[in-house]
Amino acid sequence: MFGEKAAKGGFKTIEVFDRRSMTLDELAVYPLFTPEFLAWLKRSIPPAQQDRIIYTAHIRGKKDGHV
Amino acid sequence: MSLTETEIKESIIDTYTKVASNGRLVAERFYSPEELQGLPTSAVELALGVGNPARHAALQRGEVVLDLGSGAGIDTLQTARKVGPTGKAIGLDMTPEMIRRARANANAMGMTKVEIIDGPMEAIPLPDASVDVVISNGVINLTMRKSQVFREIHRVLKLGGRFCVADMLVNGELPEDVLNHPTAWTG
Repeated sequence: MFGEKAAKGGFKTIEVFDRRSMTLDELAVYPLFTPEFLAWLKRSIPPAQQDRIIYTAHIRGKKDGHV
Repeated sequence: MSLTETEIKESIIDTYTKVASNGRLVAERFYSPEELQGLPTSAVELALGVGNPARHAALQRGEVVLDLGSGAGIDTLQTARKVGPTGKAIGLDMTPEMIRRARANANAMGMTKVEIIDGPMEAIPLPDASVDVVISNGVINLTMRKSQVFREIHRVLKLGGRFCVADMLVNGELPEDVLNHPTAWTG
């Protein structure tokens, strides 16, 4: 999705790499999420989706033109 | 009912103002011991990113680099070390408490070529074609206007400039009540 957004932003050379899934349990290391929120998230998202609904990636691009 | 952009922004500022350290758990997942060495504890223990864009951006000495959503400064400070005294690292954030922390961390390291500025990533307060590289770590997912952020990245980059961002994405559809929960937007 970010690749599409970057293309809409004007970038033509775009690379997505280092894509990794992030489980709901892995979100627990972030202090932004309370245990109560994570428990609610687990109840709200079907178990079959919980380990693959979130992923992380790096996106790299270049503004085309003379260097 | 869907959250408005203003409600999401207020929730993000509130969350990042109050966020407490979770030790080095996040930092040790994404940064090497060498990369963390010499960084202030406050920067390391408030790492909230999902990758290491400064490592993958092939930064060169002398470059001007903008870090969107710089937080307590872990990527901005790492960038400043890579570009050296002839370059410059600019951190952009919209949370006053994070701006204060990042400036304090830069001062603690004696970094003179670091500037932390206040502003939204959807309207970056920098001139056109003024930076060589834009990085961002786990931040662009926080905005409803992602294409606008990339338009702004494109605007501030010099010709031949590049960006490298790490971020969190959703694979498929989240239930509507999750999409409308403020915490789902602030993390």
